[in-house]
Amino acid sequence: MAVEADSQLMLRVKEGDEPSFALLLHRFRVPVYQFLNRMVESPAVAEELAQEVFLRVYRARATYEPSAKFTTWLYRISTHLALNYLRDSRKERDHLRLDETPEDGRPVQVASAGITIEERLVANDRVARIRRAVGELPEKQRVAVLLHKYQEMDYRQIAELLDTSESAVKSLLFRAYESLRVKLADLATGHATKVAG
Amino acid sequence: MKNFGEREASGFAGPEHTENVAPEARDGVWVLLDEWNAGEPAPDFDATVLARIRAEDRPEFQNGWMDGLVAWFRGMDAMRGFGLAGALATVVFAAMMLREPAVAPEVPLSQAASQELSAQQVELALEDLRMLDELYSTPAPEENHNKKI
Repeated sequence: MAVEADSQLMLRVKEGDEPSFALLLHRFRVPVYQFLNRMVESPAVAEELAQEVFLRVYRARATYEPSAKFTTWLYRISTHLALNYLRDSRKERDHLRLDETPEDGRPVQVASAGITIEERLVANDRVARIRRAVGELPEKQRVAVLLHKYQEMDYRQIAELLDTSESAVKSLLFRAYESLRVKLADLATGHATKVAG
Repeated sequence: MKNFGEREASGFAGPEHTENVAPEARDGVWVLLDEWNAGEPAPDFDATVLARIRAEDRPEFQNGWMDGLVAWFRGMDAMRGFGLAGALATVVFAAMMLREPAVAPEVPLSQAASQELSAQQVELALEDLRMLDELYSTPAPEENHNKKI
């Protein structure tokens, strides 16, 4: 029902209702930013791209047709911008990777709180490895995993967004999760030990 | 070099196989992916986006008053446009009719200058009379006159 409400809001934006756009912006600012941040691995770039996503949504309001879910349209724009950025800045990022410089000099974000410095360092290292493993996935696999895991999209919606079939999406996700499982196997063991302990 | 996941995928038979295997891998990986918090945008994110949109919404005022005027005229319906054009034409015509003709003001001559001017005019008139006298007193040769005709 929330998705239908999003489309309704967008139709009101199409009619010139700015408060409806402000509501959509407020509703999707965090998920769009987080998706982009996981794609480009840079908070500053993610913020700039997220702004551009919403500007494009607003600019395209006159031609908006609720033929697909609003989120499919929104994340298609986001994916397009993120992939364009990644392709344009490939050389620069390769250079940074060789230097092992953290993005924007910001510390790695860790979900857990209330832990000691040592635990924080270990957690930072774990997250850095997870990020690297996801970042090393081929573009389409990475997009599929991020949309499936964090944006909670189903196969059909991801297929529509990537202009491919559902079976192709299943295949992409299968390969991506298998690849991540192998690369992060020791972390998973550590997690299991930690949980058991 | 292919990784393990890709090698598995190369022997992958179809969607059924995916659905049997993927959830196991997915569930294990999802627990790890939960550790990755991607943060939030800056607090002024919404305000920045809305400000950029408002700035884009008034491009005609940023491009100059002439563009704005043209855009305003374009937005107007035909009848109102004709009415306004007629009113403008009337105002311009009235302004032209009321405008005084551009004639150079007469500068009063000084007394000495006017006396000098009248003396010159008298001299010129006398000289003209003398020339006329000479012209009529000298008889014109008949032959030459006929030849000219």
